[in-house]
Amino acid sequence: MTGRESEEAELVTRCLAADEEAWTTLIERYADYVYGLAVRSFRFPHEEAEEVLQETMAQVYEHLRDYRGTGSLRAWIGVIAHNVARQRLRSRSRHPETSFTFEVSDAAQQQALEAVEEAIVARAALAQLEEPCREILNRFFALRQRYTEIAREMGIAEGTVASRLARCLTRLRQILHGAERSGKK
Amino acid sequence: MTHLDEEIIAQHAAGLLAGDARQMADDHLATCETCRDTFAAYQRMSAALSVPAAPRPTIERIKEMIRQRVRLRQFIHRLVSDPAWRAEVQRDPEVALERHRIRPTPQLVAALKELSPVQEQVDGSQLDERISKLLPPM
Repeated sequence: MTGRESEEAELVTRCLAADEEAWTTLIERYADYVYGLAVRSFRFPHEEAEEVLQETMAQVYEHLRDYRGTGSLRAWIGVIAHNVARQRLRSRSRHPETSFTFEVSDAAQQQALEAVEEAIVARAALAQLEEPCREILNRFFALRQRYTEIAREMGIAEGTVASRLARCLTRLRQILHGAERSGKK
Repeated sequence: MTHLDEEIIAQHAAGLLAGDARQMADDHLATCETCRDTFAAYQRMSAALSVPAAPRPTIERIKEMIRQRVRLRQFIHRLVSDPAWRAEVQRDPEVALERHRIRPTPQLVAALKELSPVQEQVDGSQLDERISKLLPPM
């Protein structure tokens, strides 16, 4: 059993023993993944993605006892999230007045899934960056703020935003490279 | 061959280059595989950073809902295994729920009042299922 597998097994055991802190850890760890899947893979608007996240976590709570540990916990939760999302789409198609066009190929879904997987890795690397870098990358990419907004809110010259963003991306790439190398060892 | 400065590549991948600077970078990328690979890595990273994170208030709400369910399960377990506690719960369900830090919804209180005080054997799973349905929806 790898370190990750034994750590996951311990988390599941604690959750099943009704350990509130373990449940908090589980939700914190997988919420972004489920939400990212709902937004990117199924293209749900944000409000519905939140509902998918809630329903998924409710089902994880109800069915965790069925998790056998044969694959990663994240993959297992991902399957539940997919089922919840598909169920939601099916119920929409029964109510055409509330439905919208949804046609995404398996290849596109796979691509979206990979983007979410990469996002989880990138976010973990982001957490290792110093605060000013985390802040500027988050503002630019996640919040989609413009240069002027970033400069004003961070108290820096507008002309330095691009170079600082690039420097922070370079730092982030170094961290990701380091993680890849140590993962391959 | 001279390569593009990595910061220039990062800026390009993030869509921060314009005009001549962008054209120069594109011209170089067309002829340099090493820089193209770096550019692709930055593009993937930029795309990854754009995937939205779950909103904090939603995460906090879900955590609280799960906490309520965990506490209710513990509460039911005690209810099933401890007759004295069961009698106490029947006398004052609201106080009993609050002692377990469970929000005493009217449905939950009503269901607990319905429990038979002389019932020796209580089916835990049935009770769990029945009472869990009375929790407010997530």
